[in-house]
Amino acid sequence: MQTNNVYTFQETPKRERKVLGSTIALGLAALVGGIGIDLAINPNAIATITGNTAATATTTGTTKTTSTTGTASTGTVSATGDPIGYQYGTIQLKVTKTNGKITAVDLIQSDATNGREAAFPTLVQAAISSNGSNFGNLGGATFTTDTFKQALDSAISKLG
Amino acid sequence: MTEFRRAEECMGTFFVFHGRTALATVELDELLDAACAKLHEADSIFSLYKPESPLSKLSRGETSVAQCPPVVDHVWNLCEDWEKVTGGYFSAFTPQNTFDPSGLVKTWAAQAAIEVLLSAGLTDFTLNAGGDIWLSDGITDDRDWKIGISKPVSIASTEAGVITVVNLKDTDYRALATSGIAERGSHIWNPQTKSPVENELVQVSVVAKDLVTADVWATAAFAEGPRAIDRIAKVPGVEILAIFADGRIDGSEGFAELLRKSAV
Repeated sequence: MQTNNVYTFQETPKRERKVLGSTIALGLAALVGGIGIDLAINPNAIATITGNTAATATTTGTTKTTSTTGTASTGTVSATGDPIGYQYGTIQLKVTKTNGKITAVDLIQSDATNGREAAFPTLVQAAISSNGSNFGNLGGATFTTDTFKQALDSAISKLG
Repeated sequence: MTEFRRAEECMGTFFVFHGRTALATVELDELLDAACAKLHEADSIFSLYKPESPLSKLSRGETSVAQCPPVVDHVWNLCEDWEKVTGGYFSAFTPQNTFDPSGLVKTWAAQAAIEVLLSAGLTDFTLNAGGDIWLSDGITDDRDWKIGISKPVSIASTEAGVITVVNLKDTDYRALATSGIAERGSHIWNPQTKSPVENELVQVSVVAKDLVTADVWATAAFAEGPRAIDRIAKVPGVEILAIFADGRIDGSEGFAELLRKSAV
């Protein structure tokens, strides 16, 4: 599979493609999203696994443990978070900091059925937990100029 | 070094250039003007929202590819090639058989704008092409190596936020593109069924070495649905993160590895 040679593709003969003027309106309608969508997005499920867990996390007893070697600023510190319940199971992370920097994020507990499915919620949460809003650009589905202008007033646009 | 940021409105979205340069302000402004001119030139040729653009005339059957600027033929060929590479899941030919290369032109034009800045010697900058992100090789600010990926809701929504952060430093990836329904609803159609995409995915993000590759694969993956995860996992240099409507998250092992690196 060649994927990085976009600028050196060989000339290929054109297939017969008719260009129909009368259907342009339909094409435009599809392009601007005039067709309704009924996908049931569940923002709560997503919020749960992106670090916004205060409202939805399930805690089983007091499970926070902290082990420290040396002082917090110079040694290695690890902390185990509360188990976080989400739609497909429970995950629990252990975060290790050395000299104030996160050096490891380990999965302590996961009862999700599929290994890969368990890994991804953990990993996306770990990456946002250690970076927070410390990023230069915000990627996402192509926003419109109006949306962009609206977002300029919110905190998120200041990051992008 | 001077930090710069330029937001250019084009193609119904914004292109944001951001970086650092030793160039004087006047020189830099001229350079950014030249880069943005590439975007506007592509828009004037390929926009289907401008009734007098060559593409609009082509759609109405008032002209032929041969009579259009040569770049139309070039983009037509690129689209056909990408259609083959993606197993038919990226297509610029609509169910109505009109040629609509919008899915490629934004990042293709962005790449042309990037080349203007690169050829002038800029090495330390990023481009946010309406949500698709490109990074240069010589970024000096660690923040700029990191890209936040939006939750699958509009950036203007009260629920807007970031689902994760990827750090492309010390990787071969220089681009991250995202396809989904968050901003413009269901605007992607499945070339195989010739109908709007209705699947379990609400958003896919793809990392690759260049912007067009990331963009095309993100569009193709969204059109194909969950099976695209395994398809893309086999493509060298391209990795995918997929978000399902019910909140599940899945992706390729390479993207998992990128997240592991991003978390430390």
